[in-house]
Amino acid sequence: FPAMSAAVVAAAARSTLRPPSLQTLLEGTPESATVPYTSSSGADSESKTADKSSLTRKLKHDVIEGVNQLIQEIAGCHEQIAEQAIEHIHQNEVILTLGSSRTVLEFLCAAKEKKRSFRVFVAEGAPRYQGHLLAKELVARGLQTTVITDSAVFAMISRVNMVIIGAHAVMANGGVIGPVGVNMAALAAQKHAVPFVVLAGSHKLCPLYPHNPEVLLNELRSPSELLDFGEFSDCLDFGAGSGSLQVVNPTFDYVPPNLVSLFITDTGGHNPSYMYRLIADYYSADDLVM
Amino acid sequence: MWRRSPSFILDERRSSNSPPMADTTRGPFQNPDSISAYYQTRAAHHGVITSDWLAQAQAAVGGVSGDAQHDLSVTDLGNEKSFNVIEEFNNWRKQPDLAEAVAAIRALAAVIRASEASTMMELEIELKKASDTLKSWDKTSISLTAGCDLFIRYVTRTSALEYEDFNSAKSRLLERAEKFGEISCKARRIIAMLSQDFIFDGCTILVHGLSRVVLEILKTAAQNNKLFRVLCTEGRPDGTGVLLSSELSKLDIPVKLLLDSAVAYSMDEVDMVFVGADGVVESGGIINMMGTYQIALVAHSMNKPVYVAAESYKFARLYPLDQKDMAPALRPIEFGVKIPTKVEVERSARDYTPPQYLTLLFTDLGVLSPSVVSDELIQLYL
Repeated sequence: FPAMSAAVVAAAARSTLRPPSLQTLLEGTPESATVPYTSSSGADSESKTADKSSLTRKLKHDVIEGVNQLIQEIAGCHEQIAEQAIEHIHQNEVILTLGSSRTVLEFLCAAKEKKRSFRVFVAEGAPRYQGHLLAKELVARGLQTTVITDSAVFAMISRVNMVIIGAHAVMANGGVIGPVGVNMAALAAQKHAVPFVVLAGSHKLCPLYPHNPEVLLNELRSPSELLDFGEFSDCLDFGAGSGSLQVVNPTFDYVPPNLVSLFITDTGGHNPSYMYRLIADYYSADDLVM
Repeated sequence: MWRRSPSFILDERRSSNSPPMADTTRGPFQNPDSISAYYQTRAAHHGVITSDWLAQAQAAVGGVSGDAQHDLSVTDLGNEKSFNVIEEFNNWRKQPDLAEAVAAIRALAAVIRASEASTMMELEIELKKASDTLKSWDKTSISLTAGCDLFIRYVTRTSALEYEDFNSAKSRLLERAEKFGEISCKARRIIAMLSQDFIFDGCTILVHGLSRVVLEILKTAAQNNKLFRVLCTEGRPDGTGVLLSSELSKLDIPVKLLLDSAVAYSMDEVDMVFVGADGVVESGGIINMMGTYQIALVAHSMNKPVYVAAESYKFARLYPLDQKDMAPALRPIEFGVKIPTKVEVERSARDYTPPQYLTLLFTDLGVLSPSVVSDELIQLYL
């Protein structure tokens, strides 16, 4: 049978091997009561179409409600994560962050509002240099900020109390897809026993297990962000025969779960090995057909 | 100051005093040797027959038929039924392609079919008795115990028990039993499909032990035209490496045999390690052929992923705290030369690999990380 349905079969096996939950057993009886009803009303076509349209209307209503709920959750996650800032950032601490993330910005500002005084090191996040934007925002809110290059992360890590970054996605095994450079920061943090905290709204959870994350889930952007077109155009020309220059510009980095100390989501702080549970809450096993 | 006490001297004295006691604790259907029957079966499947093993097997056959005759003379219906279960089980077990737990499941399904009970309660009691018999026949096999337990739970916890009519309830039970057997049989295909993504072109896979699930995975990858090569450990004393390499060379997969001690030497050219499991325990660790723990330690220290392929009926309610915390499964080891009698031999057939050295488990319930296993176990056993 085709490769894609293996996940479906596994999900089906998972649901059949478990004993029927009390809820499904209780719900079983009203279902069997409605089934004979719809089959016996075959003669009355009008009421059947009325049933159908009311069913579709109900379905549409449910779906729209679900989507609205999701929109609300996504809009509100920054606040809920920022609420927990006060528990993690203490007086006179030095925080390191990389690139720019709105969640991180609100997290740090929430702590500042609760009158915690701390310093922030922002790694600039080449080649897009979004760290510069974050630094400007932080200074505007009154935080003492220092901008460093990505290469200086290992040099400065021993002076840092905590690394806080935002995530692009969180995988089922607890691994993190983040802006390029975070794996380096995570390794540096591990070397110096600095807690590596990842902020992620629960909409960022992904049910996939990364089997080749560096390539598969990455996006390779245009090399023009690294090199200006005019200077290197002769090296980049393959036909010239004078050797070829390749430029790789990945957008994302994969951080394995053993390097992450804590995930802060809108439901609270969690261990990386716990993330699969949150994924089970949001994704039904039956829907995991990719 | 605080040195380890030479407790091995005391232990030896104690064990030399107690063998007569140990014999009486075995039940009537227990294997007459202390050799683990599970590993004997696997050795038989692998075709590794030593002279000791032959002698013991002959003695065992003589022993069991002696027991059986003794039981037939007893006029208890229950004993005859349980004799049938073991027979049925042994018939199924002889097929080399069938996992032991699946054989047990088939045997138990046959018990339901052949049962002459007239009430649900009676049937359940019969089933429980048959399962206990099977379990006591070989206490060292984890997948057997786990498979029997899961089967009983799966089959008896159904809404069939609400039916008034006994025959329809019984046929529903039989249906569920067949389904469980089917899932277990199909498990290998599902696992093979799920793990295909993790094998990429040009990778080097290290395999330890002869797991039929891992073989299925590699076969499927070869069928999907993936280019990879396999390093297999020799797998003393079972000689699994030689068997695996002959199977793989039939499929035109490049294979290299390693001594068990050459694993660390070759580990840097390895991309991933694949092993099967005899049992998956609550902590997320696995119990597998001796040598797995060693390989997992080496792989972990060199940042290589260790993937375990295990069917869901191997999930057991055990929590070993260290290597010796399990029922010992001993098997005879041939060194090719005569060993002086005063020299002891470590004859344990299996070891326990803690979950921190495992990366992922491929099961028919999906891809799981070791911490997910305890959740799944709770769901399965409830």
